[in-house]
Amino acid sequence: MNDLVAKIQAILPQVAKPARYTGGEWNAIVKAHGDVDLKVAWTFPDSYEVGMSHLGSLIMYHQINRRADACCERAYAPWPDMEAKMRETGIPLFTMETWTPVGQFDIIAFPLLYELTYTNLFTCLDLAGVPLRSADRTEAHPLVIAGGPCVFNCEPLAPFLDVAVLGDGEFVIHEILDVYKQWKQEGRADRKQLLRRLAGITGCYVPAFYEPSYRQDGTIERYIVTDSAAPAIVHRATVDDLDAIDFPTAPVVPNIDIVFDRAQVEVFRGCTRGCRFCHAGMVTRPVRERSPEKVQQLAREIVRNTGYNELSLVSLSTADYTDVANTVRKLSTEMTCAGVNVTLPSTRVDAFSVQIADAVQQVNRSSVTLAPEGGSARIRRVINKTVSDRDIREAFKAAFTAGYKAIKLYFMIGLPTETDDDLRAIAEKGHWALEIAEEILGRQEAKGVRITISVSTFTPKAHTPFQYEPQIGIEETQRRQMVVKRACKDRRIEFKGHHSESSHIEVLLSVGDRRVSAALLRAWQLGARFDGWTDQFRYDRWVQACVESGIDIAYYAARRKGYGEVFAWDHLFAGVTKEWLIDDHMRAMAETEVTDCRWENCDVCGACMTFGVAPVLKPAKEGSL
Amino acid sequence: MKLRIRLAKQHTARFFSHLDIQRTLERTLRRAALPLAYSQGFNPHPRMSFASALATGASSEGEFIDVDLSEPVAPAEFVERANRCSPPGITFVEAREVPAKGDSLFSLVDTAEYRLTFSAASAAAVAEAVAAFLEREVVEVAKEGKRGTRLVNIREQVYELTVAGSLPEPDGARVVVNLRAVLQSGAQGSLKPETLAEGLAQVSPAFGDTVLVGTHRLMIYRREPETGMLKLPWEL
Repeated sequence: MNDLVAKIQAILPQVAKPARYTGGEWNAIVKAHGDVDLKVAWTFPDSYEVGMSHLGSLIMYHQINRRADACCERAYAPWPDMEAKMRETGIPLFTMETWTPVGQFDIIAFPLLYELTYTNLFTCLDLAGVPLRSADRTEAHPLVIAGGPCVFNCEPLAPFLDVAVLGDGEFVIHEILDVYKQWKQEGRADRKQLLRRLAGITGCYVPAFYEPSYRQDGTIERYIVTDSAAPAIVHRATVDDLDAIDFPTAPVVPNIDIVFDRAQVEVFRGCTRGCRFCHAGMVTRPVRERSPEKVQQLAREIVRNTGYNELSLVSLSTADYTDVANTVRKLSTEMTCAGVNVTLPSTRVDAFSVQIADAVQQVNRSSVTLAPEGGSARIRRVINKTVSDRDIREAFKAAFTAGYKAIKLYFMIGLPTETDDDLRAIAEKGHWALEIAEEILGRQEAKGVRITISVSTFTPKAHTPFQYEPQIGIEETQRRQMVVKRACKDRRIEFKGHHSESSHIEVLLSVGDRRVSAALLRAWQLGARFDGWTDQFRYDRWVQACVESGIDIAYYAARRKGYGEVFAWDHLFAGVTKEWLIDDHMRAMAETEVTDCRWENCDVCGACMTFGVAPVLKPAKEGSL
Repeated sequence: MKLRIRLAKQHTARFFSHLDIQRTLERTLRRAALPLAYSQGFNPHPRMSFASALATGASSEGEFIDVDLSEPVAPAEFVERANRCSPPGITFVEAREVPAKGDSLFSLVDTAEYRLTFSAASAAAVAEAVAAFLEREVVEVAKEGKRGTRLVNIREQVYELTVAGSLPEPDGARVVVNLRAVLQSGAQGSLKPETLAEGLAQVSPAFGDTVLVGTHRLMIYRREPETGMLKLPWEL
């Protein structure tokens, strides 16, 4: 037994949930390192329970491991108790599969799904013994890459990443590995040569080759490309046909309870509903469906290979899948006898979706969750959440008719143009639900109905039409929460307001530029870890870090930005042109909706023509459902 | 058809909690496509029952579960198929058919046999503590319960306690000592190995800085109160 294994075994009994760190899961892939040319450490900058729930990570683990010349092993950010033990006993960050130090891998890959995980990236690099700054790494160190939705503005992380990979990973990862392998076979000489070659791959952004300059007023003057190998604009990598790519049908099955503990089949990628606050809906265009036949085949294989008793059909909005009702019905009928439930993760706000959800959702029948996002019809036109008051009423009717006694409603406050009337309209939806409950269930039974109104604060994101908008401040958030809360005048309505301090930091990181990197690093040095966890987040640490680094949070979070301004993410092309974003922002101010291009006319956002793709809808072939 | 199955839980699997084990076994049996009988209702679950929970971190070769099957499967075939689909560290050791309508496993067993590994200054110190403990009729240890702290006589919960062997640690400064312990463990009361260690320290100053470093459950039984005879779960 080697020294590291003995050390790890000695500390495991002393930390919470040790199985987070042990590995040994069903379907985990363990390869002999002598048999492969490339070793990738897929390092999720959050806990095991969150990381193991991430479908993108399961997909990439499968993509890398299906190569005979490469292995992919997993690591997760250690919880603070584990981090302390590791530092105390000199244990480096190690992988689940073989307990190998992450620093010994060729490539460390970080999926970035949420800005408030950024500080954990430092923990992981530091524990791996890898210099935090890209500029300090040598040929002897691993290549540090990152992917996921957050990389579309990764400027606050720019000094720490060697390469950011934009878009769908299924093809681009192989191009990266091929380039790396060749460089390694040539003797690993000159790291810069490797970065130059990687910069030539569509989807790969090498921050070191781009240099921002700033104006007197603090805004960005421009970005200069400093290396001829790097493109002026980096395009996203895009997969055009989901049926043609390999999907993991034998994903790793966790031994401990995780956040989404179920089999997942992706039914489509992208969403063109056009909600103006939604980052995912802007950076994943267009809609690309997987065929119902393929979905069924994958579903059967996954259930067989994992033993899960729940199968979820996932996408950004599964109720919009062309053959959703038939696909769900067929799978549900087939699988119920084997004790497997089919579920849909998100429910659109209308009667149809509530009925589909109800038809299959045999677990958690107690409540149904709907997200109208905006209280008044007016504000929903502003945010392009194309749900009418009638849709909302019909959804309530469908829910109570199906026998639900509780409805959870999600709303946003602090939206552009919002007035107190819009806020009171949020509470009004709760009262509507109660009225409908009394009509359908009768007064007596409706006494037991529970409505939860959950309110979060609007957070502007890069690459969305609302990137020009400020976030409301912490005091204003509290005031607006009170307006909603006071208007909830029935004890059956429960109001839940969300923590606004952490969403303030989320904005700083999501629309921040390269200067913010200093504050980010300082916050980590001051102890920031797992900032997305309410019990771990401390605002004062971030305020101190920003003060010490000369960063004004309000400049980033609370300032309205001009249409002519250069943004830190303008050289990264996610699919929608800046012209379209400005047009769409103007439409928002005029309270005008935009249609969904998968069903209506193309609005020329820029995605299809740039990436050479088109919306793909795949109705079932005759007789297959 | 009901099978009573003996399992081993070793290596990384010893860090699974009791709930983790339940979920993992359920998934293992589903992967093996064994004909499980399901409970009725909206959220059907395989009908499985567990003998007793083992502390997270402890290994075992004496875990038992009862599994209801909807059609007969030969016990040896069950074990073979389940082992092909179980994650590392979980081993199905043996299965035997038991009457379909019996009492629950949990209510049947009341005793567990352990191998407890201690790190001690010397083997003699541990042997001395064991002898002193067995000589006593009463060894009281404070136990925190729902109604406050109370003193429990743990001596009557210890049926057998012997030194099974010892080995110097690689650095030579200390020794590793194994004890074989048969302890009460069931619905009527359980003695945790950690509590036994407390009791040993109490009766013998020589026990001193000895620490319990490993718990391994060997078997569970039902003990006949008059004769002290131990019966295996299959004999019940």
